[in-house]
Amino acid sequence: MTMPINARRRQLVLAGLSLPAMAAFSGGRYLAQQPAPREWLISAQGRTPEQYGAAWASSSTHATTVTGLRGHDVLQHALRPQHLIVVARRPGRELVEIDLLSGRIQQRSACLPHHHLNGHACFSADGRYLFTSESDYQQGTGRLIVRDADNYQVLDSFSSHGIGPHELQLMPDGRTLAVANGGLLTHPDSGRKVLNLDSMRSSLSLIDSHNGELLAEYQVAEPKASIRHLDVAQDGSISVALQMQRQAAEHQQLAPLAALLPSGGNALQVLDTPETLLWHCNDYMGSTRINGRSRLAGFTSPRGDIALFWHIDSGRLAGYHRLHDVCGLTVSLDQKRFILTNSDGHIRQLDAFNLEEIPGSRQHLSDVAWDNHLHAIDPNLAAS
Amino acid sequence: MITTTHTALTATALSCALLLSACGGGGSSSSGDSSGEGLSQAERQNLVEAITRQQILPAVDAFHEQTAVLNSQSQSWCQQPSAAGLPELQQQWLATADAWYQAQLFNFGPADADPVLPLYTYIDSLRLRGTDYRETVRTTQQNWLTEDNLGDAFFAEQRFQYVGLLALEEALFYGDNLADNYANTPQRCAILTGLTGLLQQHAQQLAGGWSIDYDNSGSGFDQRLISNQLPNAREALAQILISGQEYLDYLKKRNVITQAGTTAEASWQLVGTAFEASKRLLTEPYAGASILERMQQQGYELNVNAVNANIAMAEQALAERNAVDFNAAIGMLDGNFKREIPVALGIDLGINFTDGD
Repeated sequence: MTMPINARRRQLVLAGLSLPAMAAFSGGRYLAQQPAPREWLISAQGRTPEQYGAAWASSSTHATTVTGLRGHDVLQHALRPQHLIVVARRPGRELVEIDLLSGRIQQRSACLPHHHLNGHACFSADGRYLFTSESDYQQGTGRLIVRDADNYQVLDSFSSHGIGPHELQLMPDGRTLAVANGGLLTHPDSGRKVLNLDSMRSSLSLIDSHNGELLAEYQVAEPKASIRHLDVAQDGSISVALQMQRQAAEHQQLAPLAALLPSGGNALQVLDTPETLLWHCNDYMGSTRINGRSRLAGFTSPRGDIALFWHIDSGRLAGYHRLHDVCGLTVSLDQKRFILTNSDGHIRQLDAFNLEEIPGSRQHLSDVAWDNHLHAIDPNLAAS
Repeated sequence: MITTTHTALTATALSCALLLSACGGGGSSSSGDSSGEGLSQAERQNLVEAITRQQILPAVDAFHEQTAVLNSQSQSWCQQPSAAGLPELQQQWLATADAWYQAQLFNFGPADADPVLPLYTYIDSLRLRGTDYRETVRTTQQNWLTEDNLGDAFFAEQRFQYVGLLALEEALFYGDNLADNYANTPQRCAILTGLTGLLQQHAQQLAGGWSIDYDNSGSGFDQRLISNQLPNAREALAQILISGQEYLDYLKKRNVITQAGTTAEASWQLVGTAFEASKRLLTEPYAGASILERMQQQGYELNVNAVNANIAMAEQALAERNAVDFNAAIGMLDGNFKREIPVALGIDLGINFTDGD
């Protein structure tokens, strides 16, 4: 149900207050035992170290595998589309490949000495290489590590041109990497504690994946806003989700949490947000995804229990959906839906154009704690 | 160095995913499992129902009643403004603000059903971000004296900064020879009664949202909370704890002691009321036992001791009117709401909420 639009509500579309329909699951069986649905949701999951692993779910079934590490992002393997790669969350040091068909872990791969992962990776356009964002904690530098996608052997290493590189994605040219350099220095000896709050410098960097050359760099005005997550649209537009390091700021002013680099643009444009909604997000955006068909960019704020959506052409806020601890956000394979998940196992689907919740689409997997990021994949097709 | 190993099957086939059969989601409550840690589902529901009936609904209803009295008294006083009647009216503002500082412990549901234009901001502009709009309110009210049509529609169109408790505090406490000014300038009474009428409307909206009709759903938010069917799918007890935590965080972070009720010289009373409401949530018996007693029953004595120590520190700071110590104490109590209390009760606040990346 979409709430009425009126002037007082500043023409915002309120999405997602419709009554849910009953969701049905058979659960507990692997893909091999099922007539394979086309679309599967994949994510890191788990509330405790004993549970940490990956989860995958279709509209009718779901399963999990324990990995022994807390993952952050999970990717469909470009060469083996029925496999997933779990990327350890910082300061974790392992990649774990899982076979969706059997639930078995196929490979584990550790970082180079003195390196840790930052939770994200992406494949080259031909699928032969895997790029991971890592930190060399001995040098205190951000690194882009190039690996053989088949066996994870490290082939090369480039500077990320910043500290604490986080999410990275390939641009439509198939060569340039968009890298969110969060700017936060950490060291495994001190866990996740940020060691450079005074001097932190965050940037969105465009880097040549063939040689590591810095092609362009963008920043937002607020120096304590950490650029952590991004998404790249087919036209080259980049959405950026930020996290304000409030403890480092000398003010209580609200900082922008969502920005867009338009295709061909030369500066990050902060997406205009009503003060009340910005405050609601509690200095934190956890994920962003662009729907190229509806031209909407979504952002999730688990600390605000809200997902926000903007038109990427006009920069205007399009609507929002409230869901406790929502962070997982993706676009369905048909690009007709935004899909949201939270750590209580809830899945909600919104019409990608009008942002209304799709009747009957709710699912609740009470044994899954969806973690930070979500993807929709077709296990029968390699990721593009 | 690269290591590649093949491991044995560690996958866990998950059977019988429980589905949430009722409307509205409901957080993690649907499993009905007895994990052996934390409160059972029945205990949680009983606790939430008791808190709702014993503290939340009485608080929002009391606030509504106080606004009605304030509105009525304002209209009566404005029949013939006099210095003699002003203290009673000022006292009623204080009673209204005091009621609000109890009610805003539960600043969710009807209070922020619309996150773009949340109702609570029209009651208390300070609560949004701790911005002190006192000077702009004074200027605005001065400008309003030249307005011709100070009717209900005029006030209903005003931005949140210019209405609510702060605007009324300035109207009732700021300036010399206040009663004379009201007597000599009838527009002042139009402003006063316009503001009290709007505040009563908002309080009625809040109370009605809790007990009659939430967001045009046909039933009050109290029913959603008690039945653990919140629109955002958060578990009801987690919602109450998070709301308590956010209130303490707000009081400390925005240094409310130095900002709220300063014209009325009521700052300490208001933060004291806020603290007492928070303490009551933890210590009052609900469905047979208080939250702290339930934590104790779960075997978390150290957590209980930590909370009690911070309560004692806050009480001492209040008695001594020591703002630094008070803010320190409620800051630690805020931390208790994030960690010690939910852990002891077995409440999951959300892994992304508490530990995102």
